[in-house]
Order: sequence, then structure tokens, then C-alpha cells
Amino acid sequence: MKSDIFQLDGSALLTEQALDKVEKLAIYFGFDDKDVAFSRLLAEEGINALESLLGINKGSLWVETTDKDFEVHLKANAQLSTDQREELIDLSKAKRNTPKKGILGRISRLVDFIATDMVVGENPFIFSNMADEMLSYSAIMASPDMIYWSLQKTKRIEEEKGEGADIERSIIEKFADDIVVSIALKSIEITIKKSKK
Amino acid sequence: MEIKRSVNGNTVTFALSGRLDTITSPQLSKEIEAAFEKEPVNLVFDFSALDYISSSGLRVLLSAQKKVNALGTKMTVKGVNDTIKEIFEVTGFTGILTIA
Repeated sequence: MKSDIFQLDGSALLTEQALDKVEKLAIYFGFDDKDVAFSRLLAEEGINALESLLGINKGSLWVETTDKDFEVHLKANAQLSTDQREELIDLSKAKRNTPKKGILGRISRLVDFIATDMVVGENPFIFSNMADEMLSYSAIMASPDMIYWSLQKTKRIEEEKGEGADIERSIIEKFADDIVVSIALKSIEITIKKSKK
Repeated sequence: MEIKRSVNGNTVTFALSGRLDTITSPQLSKEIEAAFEKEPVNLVFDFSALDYISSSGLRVLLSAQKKVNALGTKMTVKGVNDTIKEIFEVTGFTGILTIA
């Protein structure tokens, strides 16, 4: 079952309305009181994580359920920097981008491959005959900033966030049974899954 | 969320009910700020009727704890239910807060 889609704009009103819906759906799903609270909490922390990690407060939220799983989906339009991309991927349980199927997903995997696995010097042109599924792409132009990973940058981001920066992350990682991150070229989706015991 | 504030000597008690979350935590933050306006005080948070706390609420508690540490006063959280206790444990707040 897929719920209605609830828009988020950073306002308390829409956030509360969306969270109230998540709570009602969790009750309908059959969770006990504690897991209903945790479902709402996961949705709230997902919204908070989007803002704290990426500075995004506009997007949409919906719930999908199967017999066993209760999934909160958060989607936003965004083009991420390399640092943001790494931060978001790090939130996932699998520590990787899980793109949607289709051509955009394949392009996204290619970008991921470039951003995370390649070491590129001064040449901003990367030819794509390095992986079977990417053979159909002739060339991708990538800025050095996109592919440059700096521990210094990561450290600076942590300092800017201040103490308690990882509270959302701790909560999501502990209470979610799975967290899937899908980064496409112009959008991102986070799926936070809680399963019936 | 409802906040009931009571004062006994230099101890201010906040009894909270409902949810301490993104929507409601600014309200508590203002109340705490107001409590420190006149003099350094001890803080007690009574969570007996609080159902839920999120990262936003935890940040308010963290900020309050830092304030009392700086002033040399005390802060205690009491009446914590199992759900909130689990959230405190997961986030490491059991090591930061004094939970009665």
C-alpha cells in the first residue's frame, strides 16, 4: 500500500501534519505503541537529517507498506556536492547509493563510480569503459571538485555542525531496520524501513 | 506539548506532557532561558507525562546541561518512560544527563 504524498516546506504546520499521518498509518499497520512512536521518530529524524546534512527542507513524504515492512519515503529535488553525497550515502545501511532502475539510475551509478572509486588528477575527462554497465557512455565531464575527496572538508563540516550533530543519525541508524539512499542526477530519495518483529 | 513550571527555592521544575519534538522544543528552550534570567538555578525535568522526544528535544536538554555545567548548578531528568529511555541510550544521553 502506498499512502498519499505529503508535501514538506520546512514549516511546522506541514511537518506536523505529515508526522501525524505517519503515526496514524503506523497504528493502522499494526505496530504497538512503542513502534508507533519510533515510526514517527524515524520520519521526523529523516526530515531533520535532510536539513542538517543537506540543508534541504522542501520535499515530499509518503509511506509504503507490505505485510512486514513499514517504509517512510522522503524525496527532494537536489543536486548534491561531493561532500553532501558522501554524507548522505553514509546514512544508508549498505553505505552505497542504490539508484532507481532505468537509464537515470545507470547514469547515477556511473557518477557514483566516478565520485567514489576513481582517483583523477588534472584531467577532468573520464572515459567510461571501466565497467561493463557503463560501456554505452562515451565520456563524462567531471569537475575536479566533484571527484576530490578531502578529509579536511569532512572535518570542517563536522565542526560547523557543532556538538550533537549526529543525534539524528544515531536515532535513524539504531531504530531503522534498513535505510536506503537513492541519489539521481537531480533528486534524492531516502527510504527508512521499520519491520514488524 | 504542555509545560508546567514550578519553582522551589533555586530549583525550577518543568513538568512536560505530550511530545518534545521539532515543533515544540523551541517553546521549552524559551522557558529554560527565562528560568536563568535572574539567577543560576537548578533544573528538574519531570517527564512522567512525556510520550516522545526527538533530536530537537535532545538538543534543548544538551544545551540546558551545558548551561548548568557552566554555572555550577545541577540538572536532573526524572520520570522517563521506556521509549525515551531507549532514545537516551541510543544517543549517548544516559552518559550526559543525570536521570533519576
